Amino acid sequence: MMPKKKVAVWYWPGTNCEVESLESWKYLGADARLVFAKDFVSGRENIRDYYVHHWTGGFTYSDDSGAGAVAAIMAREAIEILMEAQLPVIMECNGFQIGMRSRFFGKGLALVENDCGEFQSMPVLHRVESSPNCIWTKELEGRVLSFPSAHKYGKLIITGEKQPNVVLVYASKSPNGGHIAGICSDNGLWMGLMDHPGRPYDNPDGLLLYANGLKTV
Amino acid sequence: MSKIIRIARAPKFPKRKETGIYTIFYLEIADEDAAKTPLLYEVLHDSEVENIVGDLPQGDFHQVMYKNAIVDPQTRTIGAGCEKLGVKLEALKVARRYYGGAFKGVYVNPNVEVCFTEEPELTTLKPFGERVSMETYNLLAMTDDEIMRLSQDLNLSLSFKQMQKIRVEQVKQKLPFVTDLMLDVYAILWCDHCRHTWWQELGQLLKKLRKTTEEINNPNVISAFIDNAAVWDFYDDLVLAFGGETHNSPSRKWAFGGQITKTLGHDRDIFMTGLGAKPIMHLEMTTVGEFAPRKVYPILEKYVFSEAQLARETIAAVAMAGNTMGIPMGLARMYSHPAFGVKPFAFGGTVGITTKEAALKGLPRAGDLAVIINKTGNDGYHGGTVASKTLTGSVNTDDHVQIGDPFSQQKMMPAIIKIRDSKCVRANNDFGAGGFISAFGEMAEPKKLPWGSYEGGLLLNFALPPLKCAGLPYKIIAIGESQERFAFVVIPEKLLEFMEICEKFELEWTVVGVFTGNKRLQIIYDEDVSEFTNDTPLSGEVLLDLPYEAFEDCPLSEVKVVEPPPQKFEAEFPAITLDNIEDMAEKVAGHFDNCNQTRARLQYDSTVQGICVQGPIYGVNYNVGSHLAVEKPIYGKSRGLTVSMSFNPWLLEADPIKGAFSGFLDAYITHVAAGVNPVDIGLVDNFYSPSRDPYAPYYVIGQVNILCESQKRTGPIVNGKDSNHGSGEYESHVIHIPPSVNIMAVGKIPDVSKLILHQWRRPGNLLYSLGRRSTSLAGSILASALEIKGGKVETIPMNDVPAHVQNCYNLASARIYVSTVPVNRGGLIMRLFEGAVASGFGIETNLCAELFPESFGTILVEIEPENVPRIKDTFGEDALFVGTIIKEKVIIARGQHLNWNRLFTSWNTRFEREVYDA
Repeated sequence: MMPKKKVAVWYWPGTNCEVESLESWKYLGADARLVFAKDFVSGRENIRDYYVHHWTGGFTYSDDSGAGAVAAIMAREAIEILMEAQLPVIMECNGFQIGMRSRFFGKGLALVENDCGEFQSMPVLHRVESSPNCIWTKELEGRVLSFPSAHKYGKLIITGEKQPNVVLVYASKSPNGGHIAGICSDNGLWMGLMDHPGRPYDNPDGLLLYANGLKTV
Repeated sequence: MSKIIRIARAPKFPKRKETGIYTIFYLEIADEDAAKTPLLYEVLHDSEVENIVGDLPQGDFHQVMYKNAIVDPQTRTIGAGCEKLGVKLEALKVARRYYGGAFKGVYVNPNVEVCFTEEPELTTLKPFGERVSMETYNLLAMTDDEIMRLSQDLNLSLSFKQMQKIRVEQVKQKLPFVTDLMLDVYAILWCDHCRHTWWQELGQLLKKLRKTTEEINNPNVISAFIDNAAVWDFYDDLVLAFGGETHNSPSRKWAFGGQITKTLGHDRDIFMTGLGAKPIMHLEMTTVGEFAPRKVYPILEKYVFSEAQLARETIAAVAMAGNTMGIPMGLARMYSHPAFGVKPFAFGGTVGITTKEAALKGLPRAGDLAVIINKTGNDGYHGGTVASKTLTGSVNTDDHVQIGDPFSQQKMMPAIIKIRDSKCVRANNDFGAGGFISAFGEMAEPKKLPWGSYEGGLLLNFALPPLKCAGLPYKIIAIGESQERFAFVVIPEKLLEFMEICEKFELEWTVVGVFTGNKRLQIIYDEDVSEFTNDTPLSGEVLLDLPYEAFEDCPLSEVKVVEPPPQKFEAEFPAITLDNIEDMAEKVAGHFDNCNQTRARLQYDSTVQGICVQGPIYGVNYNVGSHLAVEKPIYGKSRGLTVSMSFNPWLLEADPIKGAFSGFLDAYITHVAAGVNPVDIGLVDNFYSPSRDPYAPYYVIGQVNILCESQKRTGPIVNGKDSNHGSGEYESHVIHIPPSVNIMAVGKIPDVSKLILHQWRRPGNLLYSLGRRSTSLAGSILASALEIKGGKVETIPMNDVPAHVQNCYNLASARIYVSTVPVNRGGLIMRLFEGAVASGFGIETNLCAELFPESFGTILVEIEPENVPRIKDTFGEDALFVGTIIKEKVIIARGQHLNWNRLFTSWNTRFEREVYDA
């Protein structure tokens, strides 16, 4: 019997979506574990022991000083290792905000306040765009996936010259006023999106993204 | 030596509302670290979209920040980031500076905030306080007038009888004097909020409710009225923990603070039910006063801030609390009624889940350690005692404001489950009203429960609790309600295990005392004592040493029960005909209580935890408020949790007793109609009464009696609270809220897919109203819109309730109908309107005036035509054909099209106009 693939759901103080994320990965048959970011930093846990990494939602460090700002700094050593290891990472909601502040997707991008200025929790449709190499959206191009939003600082804006590798766009009313719902890094391994594919934890649409992460490994 | 540096930040591409606004961080750091300031920019701004501003602009400004006495909640988090970057933060303050017109519309709360119009001269950011000696009072040397004045001067809310008893106790205990600490301890243990004194005075009403619940003996009840929440059997060796609370006084003083602490406070009750539970759903109901201009009570304009402000702060606070905690919102609704301008009815409910093994309230043993999580501050002093009094324009209640910090509490969400499962604690309690004295004191009272007992006894050392600011007076440490603290009874041999869990989740733990088993409440201050056994002697400064029996027999006052004059049953309502049906429908749909509140609901995360089936909103355009929240809380299983709420201020104003009954029935029938077995529904009451209203005792006794009768025929009340000071006096003008009750109901179903929910399924299906209908408009939404008072409220007869419930359940479980909603506020017309909005279909009806009475307890069902005989067989003349669902989204009444746009616009714009455009 094939051993189950190990997935690390990262935990910082203030992460609050870890249970639904763990349940989603377990539903897909993965060996999902909650791993404290500080344990990756200290070396108590080894990043390379996990095939897939998931930065999930929450209000890490209360988002004081900026969404994801403190979390990105607190885990910077581990993040550098993660980047070097070239392992698949899916970053959702606060996880995406941490990824942006860690510059996983380079410079010239930012997540800002929703146009309406308010938190938006609502059902949303996302269309998968073509991408040359994104492992997370492979063979899903053109499909429309339904999973909800739950954020206040989720509008992706481009502040530099380089265009991001857009893999998801909003196919219904955007919760944040922007058109881009998800991006992928140039290496195709790191995906960031503000909305929640794992809600509900057995969402047949959203879990297609997670499942792709497992297939690749 | 330390130095205060200032780092200002502004958006690079400001939106219009951001122009002229700067965020300023004041950081107090060691002198030698000042050169490292640029390192901190990384944590304080996103260079893609924000600039660090060197020189702030010249010009007029207003700068708002928390007062120095308050520790900014960001201190710990930003401090962690700064420390990681090599700079240790000693203190932090975060300010917002508004230049010129940018300050327009900004509200500065004088209770907690300060506003500078010139550059502030800050010498330190550290909150300073002084540990002053206790004040002493020799009650034996004081006259009766003097002891009463003492109670007033010290804001104790103790009655004359109670002060007399304390004087007697001074003699009994052979004390030369009493201290301010001792008086505060009595004040909190004997306050109405904690002791329910008014309810006792009315005839032991709480005991009456509890006794009825016991007599009903519902098999799902694991514990009722014993723990911080009710505990109700669920499935698969799991149980539900649920209840609700109100923060009416604090929310009037500072809405944001009152509402955030309400929500977080009830979450703590769930954490600390049994040996630990996880919150899985929030409920939110706030009734505010009249929006501008205040017509009914214009005097309030001078004394309280606007209801629009209160409403906006409520939404922001409840969103911040729930979203940060990661607890999904199940149901949320806001109401408006003029009398609640005195103090809003600010209700919050939480449902949690835990194992059956951990379901029962724990009991300490002698030798167990008292351990606190998190720091103690000076906010929230006298919260419980101030809540136990009437507010007036002149009462000084600055000190009772509580500051909420959801981030600190959120860390307990995963930790409490680990602590529970480690079995290293024997009991726990949350810090609510009354601080240490309630949290630890309650656990240490002599107690006998069906599953065990504790003799009583506690020793606390006030040298040990970590403080948010230096030198808190002992009395504030004792009863201050500084938030996000938790009390644990830790088994001494397992302290290490407990510590490891706390360290892992970065929870600050401190051993502060021991459970002694000596039946005494003892507090010392001794910096040399940090380890304890149950024999640890008193040492250092002895701050309090009294037997628990000194706090028993709280003297009660005599309350006169005065029957109100007979109600005026004559009220002239306009006849509703085809000529005016559209006007009436618009009044109902556009009423604040019924209008589209989606803008608020969208701000509450309703899908976190991944267990939501139906949240606060439903419908094809996701814009109709639900009556029933549904979750599947056990991952991998289809077990369903159902939750409803009912509150009807206009009905309660018209007839407080029938209004209470109607609300109870409404909350209950919503589950039955959906297919929940009637025996599987438990209920929670939250009373809010105007104790200064001379008729209030009559009404409250009547409400309790009718709820006791109701629960015998339906489901048990398993938890409840009472808040009794819903009156305000302003320049000798006294305003009372209507005697009010909010009802929350929680149900379960083995398979959630069997539930019948709200949304209409298909054109051609028929709508039927089931149950005895009211013909009266008394107490209805329409009556309030027409400003017509009086009339006789009609209800389903009490003795008909069991048959009605069983009939509804029989039809639901046989799936005779395919969608259902309860008929409550707004009557049938409102259900038809909502049904059309939610489904995109329309309705053709032959009814007219019949659409407007509010028949609480009845339900509106959608059936396929072939099922009509079954409906009629079951309900006879209590089955009323309402109409046929049609494809086009319109309402046609007796052939007349109601103007859809007119109704929709009224419904869709009211909330925005009142709350956000004001």
